[in-house]
Amino acid sequence: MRGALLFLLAVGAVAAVPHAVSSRYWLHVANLSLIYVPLAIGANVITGYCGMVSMGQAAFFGIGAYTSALLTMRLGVPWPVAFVAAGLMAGAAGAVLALPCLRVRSDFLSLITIAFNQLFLVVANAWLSLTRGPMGLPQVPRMEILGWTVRTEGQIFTVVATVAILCAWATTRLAASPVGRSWEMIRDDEVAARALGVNVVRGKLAAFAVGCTLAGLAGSLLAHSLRLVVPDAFLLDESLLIMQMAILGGLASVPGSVLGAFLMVGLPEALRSSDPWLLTYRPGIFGALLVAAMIWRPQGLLGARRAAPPFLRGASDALRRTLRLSPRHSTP
Amino acid sequence: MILEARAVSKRFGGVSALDRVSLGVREGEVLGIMGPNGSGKTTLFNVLTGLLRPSAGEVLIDGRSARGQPPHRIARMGIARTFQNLRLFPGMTTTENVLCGAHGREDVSVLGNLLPRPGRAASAAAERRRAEDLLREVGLGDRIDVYASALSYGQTKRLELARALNMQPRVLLLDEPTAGMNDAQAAVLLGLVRRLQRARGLTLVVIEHNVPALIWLADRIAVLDSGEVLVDTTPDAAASDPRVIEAYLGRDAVPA
Repeated sequence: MRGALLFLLAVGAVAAVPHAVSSRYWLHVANLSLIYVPLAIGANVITGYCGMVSMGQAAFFGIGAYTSALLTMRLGVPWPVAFVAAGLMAGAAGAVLALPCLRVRSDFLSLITIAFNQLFLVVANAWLSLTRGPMGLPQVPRMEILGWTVRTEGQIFTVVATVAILCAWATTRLAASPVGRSWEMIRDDEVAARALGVNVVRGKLAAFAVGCTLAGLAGSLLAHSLRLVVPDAFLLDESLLIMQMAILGGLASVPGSVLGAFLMVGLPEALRSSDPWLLTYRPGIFGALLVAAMIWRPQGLLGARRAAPPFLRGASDALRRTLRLSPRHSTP
Repeated sequence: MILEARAVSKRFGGVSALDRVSLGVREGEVLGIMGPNGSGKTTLFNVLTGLLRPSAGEVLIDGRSARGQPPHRIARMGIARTFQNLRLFPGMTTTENVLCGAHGREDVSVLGNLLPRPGRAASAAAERRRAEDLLREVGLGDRIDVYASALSYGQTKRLELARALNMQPRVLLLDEPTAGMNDAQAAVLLGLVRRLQRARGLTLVVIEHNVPALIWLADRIAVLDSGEVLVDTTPDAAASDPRVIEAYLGRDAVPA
């Protein structure tokens, strides 16, 4: 019942907004924020639900963008197919990267993802015959769905909002399922999870692959709505930003990730025209906010109760001790 | 034997935690394990459940070697356990904690849970009812859907028991179920364990320091000392065995 109501509300909003908002600029701000929604949700699956850290989400974002752009440009693949392929490619890349790390310890995964992000940039810049290097891929075709070509910002809104809603719906559904429960078990206590029959490596691998798939889907949206793919859109800074969205917006909370995306992409973008100070100082400002969150609200703004994974609880307690505050989490 | 350790040794560096331990439990039996601190009881549980690999010897489940099986697979073969210092999920409710025990019989594929499937809602509702029934059975009927972090110590012990029971285990290993409890609380909890064992025909392996309680609960008692099985016999025989008294109380306590 509540689900059906939310669904109707979402459909209504997707249909109404492009008509109600006449400013192309505001639609553009909304679109850019919405493209980051699957990214933030994906990072949240990895960190908020399963307790791992990925510092390379921008690379999977980029893999999705290049996959989708190249498939449509070089092979003439229809966009919806390229869109799905972008997600699968990024998800598969994530799984291949994660498997050897997870067999050892998931701490290694966070280090490896940083390296992978840099490696991705090297390849994107150097493989000229495929990516055209720093010049990027211009004139990426518009999104086209069953003969309907997506041209205006309003039409782009319809598509990116629909994708964002579907990603949010799918993640909410997964989180409430036995899969989501096993992710939370892994996050909170791996030993207990194992003793209860959870295949920890498989669970982590699934969470990581889902998170990367979502990033890949966002990459396809970016490529075909900006119609340009350049390596510089997928720098390590971008990975940190995505991570911050998930943490600051709220761990293990899908609405939190939506909030995070709008707060950290939409807000600076919206202030750009009058005075770009927020965009200029974004890393510093959101970095400071993240530290503040670690001290007072380690699960983020809309974060689920006790969703902060052990490493964040440890960071939070360490910061609180430094400030002579009492630690929030009794570390076992 | 449903679960059996056959000549299991476990060494940590130069320290021998278990030395050729052979022990088994039959269906429907309650095997009590006692022994002084550091005698290897918890290490034995960790080896039996696959958390530790034995340095020598092997664990058999239904007579088949469990060598190289990871803990989650051993759990799915029906070997459940509780932990000495509790490993609940404090951020989950009591009901969710018990539902965690159902993991082994649920569909945990990502696609399977995204795609619609007839009967999913019904089976989820059935699992929920089963979890609530288990909470009532262990005496937490008034704590359904309460956060686990809000429970008293005694209640958390019951919750962990309910979670392990929800695995519908063939053998349940209880690691000091009354640790940290006073005598009255311990008596109530062990009473519950015995009631559950009788009602469900459970096969139990129980580590317990309280000797009279263990004699009352167990069908058979094994005493570990310095990683070796000192005695494996009936409760009464174990209680009067001079070696047991010596291991627990020292040589001077043995009546001449």
